[in-house]
Amino acid sequence: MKNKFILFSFLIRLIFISGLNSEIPSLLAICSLLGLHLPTIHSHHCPSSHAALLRYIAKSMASAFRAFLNSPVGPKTTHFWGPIANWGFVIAGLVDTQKPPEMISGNMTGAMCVYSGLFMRFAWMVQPRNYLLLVCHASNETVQLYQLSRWAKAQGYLQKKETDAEKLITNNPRNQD
Amino acid sequence: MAASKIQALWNHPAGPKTIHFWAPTFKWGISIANIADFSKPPEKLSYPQQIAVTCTGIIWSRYSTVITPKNWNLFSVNVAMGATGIYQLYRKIQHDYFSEAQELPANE
Repeated sequence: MKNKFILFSFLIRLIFISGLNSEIPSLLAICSLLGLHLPTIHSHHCPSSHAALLRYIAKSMASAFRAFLNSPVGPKTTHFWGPIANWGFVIAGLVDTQKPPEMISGNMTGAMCVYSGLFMRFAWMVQPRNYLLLVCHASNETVQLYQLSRWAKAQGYLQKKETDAEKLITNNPRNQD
Repeated sequence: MAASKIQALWNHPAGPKTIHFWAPTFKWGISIANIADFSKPPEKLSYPQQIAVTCTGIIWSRYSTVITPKNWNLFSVNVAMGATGIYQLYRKIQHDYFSEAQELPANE
């Protein structure tokens, strides 16, 4: 169902952007070549006109949305709202990227990096598997690692390496700095 | 008797051999950091951060009981997290909206 949804949005874009209205049959043929199976399209339900195809797309999108709404990890369950609450950490982290690096706590950011790494694995292993949580923690890992790099730079950990390398190249005596 | 109990805990589906134990254990780090911030002056607390912590704590307390394996370590860390968030928000709101009202009678 998810694959179908992605494919349909892709199809709509292709049809409207490139004006391929008359190329619908060949588009479908390409889809089947790429291994994107649309069983209902290949059968006798195949829409013959542009309007019919649009109706078919709208209907399928509606049913895809209904399936999402009623899925065992959908918005009617805590499996959906748990990860949504966790996006708060990502947003807070993004806000903090605009603050001076002296504000960053190295311990807290380091802990966050380990925490998000562990929770990516947790999201994969837990039943039902939680892709939303996986994406959330992948994002958080990215933001927190960036923050950690800013913190390290401000502390001079990354700077020191550069000057050491420079010294080696230019053979400056150590007591010059 | 005791050995078999420890063995059961060790081999539990959410036990220390699994990610279901270690992820919540690291989440404790965030709660403990927040407890350490109890001594921070309320002006330095951030509303968005504390609201995120509180909401996560409350929602995840329920989440931890509807997943498989059911995770009491995750449950306890989220109850703690929700509680610390609420306390920090209480301190911040008390400072921002009610401290002036308390000062007035003292001045008179």
